[in-house]
Amino acid sequence: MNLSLFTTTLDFALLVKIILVILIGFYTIFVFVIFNNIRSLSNLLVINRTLGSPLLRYLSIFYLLISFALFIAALVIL
Amino acid sequence: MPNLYLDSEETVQPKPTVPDSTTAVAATPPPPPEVVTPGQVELKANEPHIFTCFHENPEGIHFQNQEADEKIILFLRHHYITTLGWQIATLLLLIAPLGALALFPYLNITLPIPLRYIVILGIFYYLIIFGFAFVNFVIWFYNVGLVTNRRVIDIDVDSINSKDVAATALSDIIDIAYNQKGFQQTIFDFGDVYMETQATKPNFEFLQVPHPSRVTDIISSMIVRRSHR
Repeated sequence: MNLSLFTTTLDFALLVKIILVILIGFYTIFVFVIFNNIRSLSNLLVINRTLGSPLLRYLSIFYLLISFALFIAALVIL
Repeated sequence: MPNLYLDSEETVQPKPTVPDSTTAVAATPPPPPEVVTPGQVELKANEPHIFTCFHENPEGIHFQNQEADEKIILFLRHHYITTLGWQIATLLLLIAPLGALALFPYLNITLPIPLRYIVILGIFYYLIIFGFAFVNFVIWFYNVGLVTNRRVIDIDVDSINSKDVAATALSDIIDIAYNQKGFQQTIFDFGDVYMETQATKPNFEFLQVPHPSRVTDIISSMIVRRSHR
């Protein structure tokens, strides 16, 4: 099965590029919301000072950075 | 078993150790004091670990508006077995693209996009899966019930965007009950604990918590103790 039956390969790639960049952009905003909520939750309740809330906070920062990096990569590479 | 309901002033004194005369003769020199390097993490003995869902007298837990003399007696979360659903879903989603990739040559499917698009798409997919597991874990992690020596606090995180925090004084609880339904709850010993408060206030519930009978015992004992004061 070849998906280029519906359009040319170039058009299809462009369509994928636009959709991917928009999706990753929206997803980065969503991750930022998650990051903010985890920050507020870790202010509300601190569970285990070594491996609990601080670890989740670091993970949320890491998650946000990776998402942002992917968004930049999608803009640059695609 | 240590007495949970001791006031903060009442502390249990450790028994003095008597040196044994037989071992005293060939006694080895005492070990040197342990040196704690700056990078070493100091862990308390009663500090709950990251997956704890039932802990009595925990240390290392603090909440907003905690008073200076307020001590946490009981720390509760949903039983860990309740997270099995999203854990299995995550695992299946993780291996799904690999299965699809293995099937592509047999189905004669060719994607008309360059490899770099597929790489970005793959990273994006796995980021979504990580996000799914991470959000579910955070929701489980912060869905906490606390019983202190003064009040009961119920923190409900329904989704990543909504949280509901409720607290009531122990003296306001007029009735407490628990139920365990079904095969899973009986096997893994978890269930729902319901606390009825005065009519104007909403009822409190700790859902799917481990050892509901023990939770009920502890809270009802504390209520009785307070009413006798």
